[in-house]
Amino acid sequence: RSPRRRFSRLIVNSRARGRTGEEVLSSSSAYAVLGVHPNCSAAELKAAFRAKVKQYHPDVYKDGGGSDIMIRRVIQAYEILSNYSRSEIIERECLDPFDQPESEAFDVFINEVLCAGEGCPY
Amino acid sequence: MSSLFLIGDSDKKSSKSDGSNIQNSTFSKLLNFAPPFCISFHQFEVMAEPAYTVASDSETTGEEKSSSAFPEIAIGIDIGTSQCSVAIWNGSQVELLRNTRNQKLMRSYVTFKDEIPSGGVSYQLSHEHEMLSGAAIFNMKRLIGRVDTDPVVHASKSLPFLVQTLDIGVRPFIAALVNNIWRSTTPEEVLAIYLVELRVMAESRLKRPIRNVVLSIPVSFSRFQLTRIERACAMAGLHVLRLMPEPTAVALLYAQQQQQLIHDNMGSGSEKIALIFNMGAGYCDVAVTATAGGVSHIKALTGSTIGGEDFLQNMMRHLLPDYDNLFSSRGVNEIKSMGLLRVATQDAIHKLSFEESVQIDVDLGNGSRICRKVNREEFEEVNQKIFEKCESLVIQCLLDAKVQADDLTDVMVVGGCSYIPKLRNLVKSICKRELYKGMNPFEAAVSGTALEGAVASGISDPFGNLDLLTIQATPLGIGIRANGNSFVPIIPRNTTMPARKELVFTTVRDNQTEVLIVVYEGEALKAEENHLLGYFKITGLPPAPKGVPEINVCMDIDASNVLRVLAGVVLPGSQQPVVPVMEVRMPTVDDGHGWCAEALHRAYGSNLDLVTVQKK
Repeated sequence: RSPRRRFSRLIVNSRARGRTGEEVLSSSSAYAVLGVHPNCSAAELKAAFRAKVKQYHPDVYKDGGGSDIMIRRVIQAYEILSNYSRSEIIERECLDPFDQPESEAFDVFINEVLCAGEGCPY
Repeated sequence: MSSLFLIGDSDKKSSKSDGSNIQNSTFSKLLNFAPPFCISFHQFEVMAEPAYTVASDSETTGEEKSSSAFPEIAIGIDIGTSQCSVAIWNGSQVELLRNTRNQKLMRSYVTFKDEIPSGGVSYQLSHEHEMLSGAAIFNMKRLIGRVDTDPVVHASKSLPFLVQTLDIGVRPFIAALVNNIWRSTTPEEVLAIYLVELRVMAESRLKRPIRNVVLSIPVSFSRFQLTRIERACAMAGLHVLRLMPEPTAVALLYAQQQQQLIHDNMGSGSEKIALIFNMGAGYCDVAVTATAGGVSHIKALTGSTIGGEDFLQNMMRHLLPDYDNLFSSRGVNEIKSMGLLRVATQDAIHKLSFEESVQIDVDLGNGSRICRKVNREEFEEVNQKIFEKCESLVIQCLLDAKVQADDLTDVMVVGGCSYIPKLRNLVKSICKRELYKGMNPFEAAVSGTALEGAVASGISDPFGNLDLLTIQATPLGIGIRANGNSFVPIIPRNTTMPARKELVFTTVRDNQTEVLIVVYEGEALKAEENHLLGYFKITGLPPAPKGVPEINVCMDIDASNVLRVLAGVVLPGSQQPVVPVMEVRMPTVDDGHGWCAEALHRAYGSNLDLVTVQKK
């Protein structure tokens, strides 16, 4: 509903200003957070999510602060990329052309970030 | 402007309201100074509670060697409405601790018959009726953290001790009948006395002091109720490491069992979706979990205050339609009759799980005698509404988890009501599955809390049996009162934790200089039908037309499940908050929430209201 849109715009602005702290992830950085390739299967995505959870879950990650931010980021990335993504995330995606996986810009972006070394599919 | 809420992120693990959330290392050091079983209520919160001391009969000196290279393993406790149990990871598996009478499941009650109150852990009832003589308080899990307008409290008025309500939204008055005098107590106090017994029992079994515990709690408990549980624990000298919704504890046990299967080369590593239906004497909870690799990801939780107690009360009223009239005076004789009926009915319900019909023959001692046959159909008909509610909880949970019955790998029915045929059948038919047989339905929840206790204490197992984690979800939505009297959730139900969400609101009046943020938890559309968690004002808004100031309300649940509400104001075109951001730990209400909400309304009306920002 209505407040969501306003909320989304706010976040996008904050990212544009480059402020520190928590930001809503773009789907491209969501892949990076989980360390998976955009073409990965649902099972791979889940496995990557669990692996990150095992790394950053507050029950195991006790090296001072930061566990909250890390685990939240992992959860957020998973929610964006899995089938369970929430409506507001979809809505947000529509506001940022760079976040739409089908667009060309996305592919270029991915090539730059992920296609290093021999594993590059392009 | 959104940097408003990015200040002060989560590395400051501030302590819980009772001051008991001390980091492990500090905590173990403190052990050396704390007398083992001396409970002083006043040290935790300023509330008028009587201070009392419970002396241990095992270790009496303060000589404790806790400076361990070995981390202390937290014990798991399942406080049931009717029965309690304690379990611990013993180094290779979960073990339930037995009391001196060799019981793993202990009745949940405290009797005030003698000078020193005693509970079901240590005390041996001479007969079941003794618990129902008026001197014993039980069902505290149904009463804790509830106000006297709550229907659950009203239903508890038919229990054989005194539950008095003034119906104004304050704590009910509870009392036990001791030598024909009603002696007052509180649910927290009763629970604390009981927990002290559990702790003494565990300490004598394990031969070491116990501080850290993981408790299972009903899904439908509000955060206010959680503070009451934490408070009771603090009174008993226990530090709550985690509070786990009951079915999520069961889910963790399931996750471990699935891991075990893989180790034994009998299972596949693929993700398994399981539904857990847990119904005890007081509460019914459902969870859907997605499990793989020892990680239990809670997808959805539903719960309600329905349980064996309701079956029992419905049956008693069915057998004795004049029940409420007969027992309204609550003299010694009435309480005795009520007790007789209760025992006979309870017995009949138990038998009906295994037999088609049962003969009831009970002389209530007041001239009336109930002598008749009751069959299972009759029981199911009398409790039709409860079964329907159970059905709706299961269906809702599947819906919330976005899971079809066909996606489920396993379905578990656990808890004290798990042998009731109708319940088993309804879960089976909705889920289109036979029930999972791999766990003891009465020990599953406590076993899960013991696993979490070991994991959260940093214990590892060479065979990987503790490579387990739970990703929890919020059982209830959290939001604020806005748009008139509506409840606007900011963190919706079933949000994965830890979580941080925000919404923008604005003023309803021109030149409104103050806004009132009233925080509620629940699912009802009307604000006041939810649980009030707290309230605060933002003041000093600069004069502006209505709808102009942006009031950003952010809610943060951190990894320790601590809720913080942050609120700040910005004017369009500016990036800086016009007044300092408010950060408030919730719940802030301590008692009498019904009272508070009404008083707020009386004092402010709609003058300090908020509305959600409308789409332009």
